[in-house]
Amino acid sequence: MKVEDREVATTSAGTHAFPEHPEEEGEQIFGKALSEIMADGVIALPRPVRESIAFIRHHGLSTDGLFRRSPPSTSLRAAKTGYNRGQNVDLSLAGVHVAAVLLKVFFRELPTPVFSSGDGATAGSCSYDIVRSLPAAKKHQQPHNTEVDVARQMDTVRIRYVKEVILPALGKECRQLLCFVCALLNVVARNESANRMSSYNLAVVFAPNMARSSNPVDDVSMCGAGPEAATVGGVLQIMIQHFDQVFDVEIALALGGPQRVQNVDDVANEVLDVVDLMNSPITAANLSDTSKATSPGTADNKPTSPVELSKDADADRNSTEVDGSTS
Amino acid sequence: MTSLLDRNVVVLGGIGVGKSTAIQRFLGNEFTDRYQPTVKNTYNKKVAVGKVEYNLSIIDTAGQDETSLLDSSYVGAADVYVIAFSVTFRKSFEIAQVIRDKILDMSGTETVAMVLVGNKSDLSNERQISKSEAEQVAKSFACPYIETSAKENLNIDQVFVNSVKIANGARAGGAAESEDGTAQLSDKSSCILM
Repeated sequence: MKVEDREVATTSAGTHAFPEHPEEEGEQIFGKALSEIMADGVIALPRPVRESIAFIRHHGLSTDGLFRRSPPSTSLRAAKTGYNRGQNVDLSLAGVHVAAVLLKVFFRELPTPVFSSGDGATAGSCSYDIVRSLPAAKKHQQPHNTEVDVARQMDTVRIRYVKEVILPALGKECRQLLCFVCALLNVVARNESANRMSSYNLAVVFAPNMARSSNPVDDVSMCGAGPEAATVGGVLQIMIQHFDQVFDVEIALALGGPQRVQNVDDVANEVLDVVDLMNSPITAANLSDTSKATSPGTADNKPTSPVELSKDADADRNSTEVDGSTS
Repeated sequence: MTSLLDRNVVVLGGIGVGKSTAIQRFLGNEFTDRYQPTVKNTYNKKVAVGKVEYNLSIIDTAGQDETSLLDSSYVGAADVYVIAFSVTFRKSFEIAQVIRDKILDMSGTETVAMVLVGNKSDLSNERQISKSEAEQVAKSFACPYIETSAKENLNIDQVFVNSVKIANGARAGGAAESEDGTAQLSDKSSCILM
């Protein structure tokens, strides 16, 4: 969406939109650099991202073809314009597929793609060359072991590669963003029997939004997935399947310290609870009634204080949220 | 490496219309109702049309919206497009028409060498697009329309045989190929909608 649109006061069809207090996020969100819209190193998810994540989590997990199917382009455009103008967007009117595609579009329009060819034009991305070195599962590596054992060992090697080589190549805002999105995708994949979206399927439909270079043929070649794929899709699949291991540093940051991760059964849902907190009505009350578009949801056992999206947020959570643990 | 008998077929269409499944059928594999999105796959198969055997290179593409940007890399490489929709899903029929428009935009030509294919004809109870409606659109595109069922292996071969004929017609600059006497495609706007 064009910046020139910002002066236009009329609301778009398809969204229940009205002027809202100007937020720090400003009026343009899609297409902006993460460093501009996420406070440095801190879990301040952009509004379309956190609202879409929460909406899908609470209303979309059993939607068939979630993240694969497309919404009507008019609804998508209206929702995106709404977010770019800082307006309230009612995702329950727009629908689950709009929320899902908003997440994909957000990645697609990042000025710095998450993955790209390492030709220098895209500094800040993880290069395709790094991705291509992702160890591939080789069945005959240790013939005396059972295939299951070998697969498990290969998983471990691939997880470590993603965690120790690929994630460090990305900016910290990007890592944190991926942590929250993959928490959602992990939960989506666990509902595969209802939505038919396995981690493989999710990786395949998400990868094209994250792999972008000057060579579209290269980009396509990076989007397959599977245990043998040294591709962006392969990396994504690992991030989704082994969410808790790949992102343990980011999870600790999101939950407010490593000690908060201990004794948590379901790390992905715990991380998603943090997203609910970001969207919580208390926070929104300061800004006007934005709660309608989001789901207060399952944050009952959480401290009701708003997530402070400042540089001190981590320290704050360390000291204040330990007692509010659900465990 | 490229021979005069090579033909590149690019299969396009909205998600879930059965592009990959139809191709798998054509390659001689079993029908599966596995639910799995495609990124891009290329398959090769020899096809006899009349007395000539062609080397078909079939490019299977992703149906997701965001990957359609990549369509531009197919334009130019394709001799013929197979544009598929599901007869059980009106939106996919509209998408098929949008895809054709996009190819026209990108190629800068006035016509598209294509076959229009309506898949899932076995699901007659769920049909949303009648045969006559699809035929009418195909007529306006000046391309063949073929109804298929990948599940029942109906008319799948015909799609690719027709594709070769269309490709031949396009290569000949609009002149009909006469080697088997059936390819009477007198202008290169011919297309097959699947």
